[in-house]
Order: sequence, then C-alpha cells, then structure tokens
Amino acid sequence: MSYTKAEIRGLAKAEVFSYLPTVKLDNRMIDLNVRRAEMDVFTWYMNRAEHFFRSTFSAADGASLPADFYRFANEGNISGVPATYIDPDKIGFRKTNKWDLATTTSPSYTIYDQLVHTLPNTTTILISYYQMPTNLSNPATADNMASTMPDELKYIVQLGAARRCFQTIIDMAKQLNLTAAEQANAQKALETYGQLYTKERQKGSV
Amino acid sequence: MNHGDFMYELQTRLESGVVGVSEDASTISIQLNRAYQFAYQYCLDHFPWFYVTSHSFTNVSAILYSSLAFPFRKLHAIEVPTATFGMAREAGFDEYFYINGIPQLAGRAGNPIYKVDKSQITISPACTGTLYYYKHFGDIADTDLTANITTLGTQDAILHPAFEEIVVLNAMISAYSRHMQVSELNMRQQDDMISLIGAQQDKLNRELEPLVSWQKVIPAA
Repeated sequence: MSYTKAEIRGLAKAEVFSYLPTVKLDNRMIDLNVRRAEMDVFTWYMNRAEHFFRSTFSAADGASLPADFYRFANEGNISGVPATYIDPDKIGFRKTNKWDLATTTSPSYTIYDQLVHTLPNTTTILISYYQMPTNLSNPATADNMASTMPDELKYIVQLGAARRCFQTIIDMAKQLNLTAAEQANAQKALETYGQLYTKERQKGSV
Repeated sequence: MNHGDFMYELQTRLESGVVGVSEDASTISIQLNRAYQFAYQYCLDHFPWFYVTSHSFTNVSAILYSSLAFPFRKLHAIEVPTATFGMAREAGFDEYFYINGIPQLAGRAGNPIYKVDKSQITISPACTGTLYYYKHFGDIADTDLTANITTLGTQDAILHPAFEEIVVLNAMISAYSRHMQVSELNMRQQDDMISLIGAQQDKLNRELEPLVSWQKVIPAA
C-alpha cells in the first residue's frame, strides 16, 4: 500500500511547519507541489529502475490506452508469442508485403489516435507499458486515494514536495506577509531540503 | 491538467509572486497558449506517438490540410492497401512532370507516390488509403481564441503530463515580460522584474534538463 493523497499532503505540511509554523499554504497548492515532486521522482527513477513502473494491459484492436499510460515499453505478446511495436509508417509493409505479413504467429501493434491498433487487426494483445503516477493534484481525486508510486519512494517524494513548497513560499513571500526572519528561514529550508533531496537521490539503490 | 487547471495555477502563482501580477482571464489564456506551443515542440520530440493521428481517404488524389480533423503539423506516412507495397513514398525529383509549369506526379498502381506542399498532400495515382500525420492543437489567433479556450478547457490531452511545470514556467516568463512592457515601472521595479524573469528561466532550464537525459534510456519510439 502506497501513500494516500491526504497522507503525503500531511507530510509535506509537517515539513513546512517545522521551519515556518505560522505559514499556511492552501491544500491545492500543496497538492500541485506533491504532483510535481512525484513527476520529478518518477522521471528520475525511470532511469534507474524502469521495471518498477512497468505494467501490462490487454488490448483488442482499437482499444483506448489505460488512463495511467505513460508510454509503451516495447514488449507485447499474444498467447506467449512476442509482438513488436511498430511505428505507423510500417503498417503498410506488415499488411501487404508477403515476406513480412503480420499473422497471429508474428503479430505487431502500433499506437495512433491515442488508441492501440493490432496487426493482424482481429488480435487481442498483452502490451507492456510504463505506468504514470496517479494524479493526486486533481481536485476530484479523493483524499484517501493511494498513489501508484512504489512505497519506498515516499520519503523522497515528501522531501521533493517540501522543497517545492518552500520555493512556492519564497515566491509568495509578499502575499503571505512573511517577516524578514521567516523569509530567511524559508531560504534556509529550501537549501537544506535541496541537499537532503539530492543526498537521498544519490543514496537510491539499483 | 486541462486548460482550466493551468489557468488556476498560473493566476495563483502570478498574483502571489514576489511582484504580484494580476491579469484578466483572456490575457492569461494567451500566455498559456504560447506556452503550449513551446512545450509542444518538446512533446513532439519525446512522445511522437502522442500526436499521430489517422485520416482515411477514398479515391482522391489531393487532401487539403483544412479537411483534416485536427490541424496538420507534419506527415508521418501514407498507407495505400491496394498497392503492391502498402505505403506511398515521397516522389523523387525525376518523378515530376510539368504541365504549363505546374508540377504533376507520375505515380502508378503498385507504386504510389506523394508530394507535400504548403496546403495539401497530393497522391498519385488517385487511390484509397490512410494518412498518418502529427496533429497540432492549432495556432491561436485573437479571432479564434474563445473557441480554442473552450476546446482546450475540457481537453486533458493537449500535452503529455510530463510538461506541466514547463508550461506554467514558460507562461510566467511571458506574463512577467508583458508586465514589464505595459506597466510604468521605475528602475528599481524593472530590476526586480528582470531578476524574477531570470529566476523563472533558471527553473525552466532545470525542468528541461531531466527530460533530455531521460530520453536516452527509455527505448526509442
């Protein structure tokens, strides 16, 4: 079970509170910062351990992409037979070139119109893809909704979100009526969390 | 995020910035639309399949861009299933002939060819098939702004989600630059704005950096 929207918001808030107890950011702004932090961690971790985000879905010809589709992962199969991804500009060859015809024993798939298309067209294919983190910044997302990020990334997302919140607070210093001391504190927190975040990223295994 | 979400975030961040900038919804939309155009270029490089769109055509030789469902950006491929090989190829210079100085194509059944010019794609011979092209969400002009805002407002799929912060930062830079031009700022305020724009630019560069390295590792499209 990964962290929920309310939990990670609470953690980011707690980090902010520890440096700036009197400053209050509205929830939607914190959620946006959590979202950006998640995307930062996601793109970074895709480089290190893309298998964490690899998932599969079953698709018939013309099926929609899953809502959390980030991009395809170059793997698919039909009843155990490997299916390759091809660009749409290769469709014609696989349909009409007698030496390269797509068949159920040599299937392919492609994506256009943001839909899955299989070759041969009647085939249902199991496709491997990268899953995007749940959009926790969406106001319609319930507070008890869990993120799809691996649980071990919670701490680094928390640090990243706090770092982004401190940046937001510095940007909004005038609006939030921050005193000079509070501004200095926010600046110090930004630097500290920047270092913690970098250190945690360096520590990442794999 | 859709256009409405972007509007909320940009408005909040501008109004509550170190130098508070307040803009009406229409101006905010213009800044955002410019930012979409900027991010689109990156998105097209990183996620080309995100924009590939199909268009079926029946026994025609010329397809006008204006007849397509989405604004045309770039041709991807033309599939002609009745031909020996199912893809039309781009005509070579030796395959043109001229009538009254106007170039014509010398394609034939089994060997279809095409040319792309300013406003249309011409296929020779006239045939049935599917056109694959990279769509765009439209260049925004003042006259069609309202229609575009309405469309973009409900559409989550303008840009790949990896580009959200890039859009907001870019729109902030545009908004600050505009503020500098239209407001009567004293020297001190101008300096503040310049350093604010510089700070956003630094943030933008930092956001773009991981996308470049990320692209190298993930299997290519």
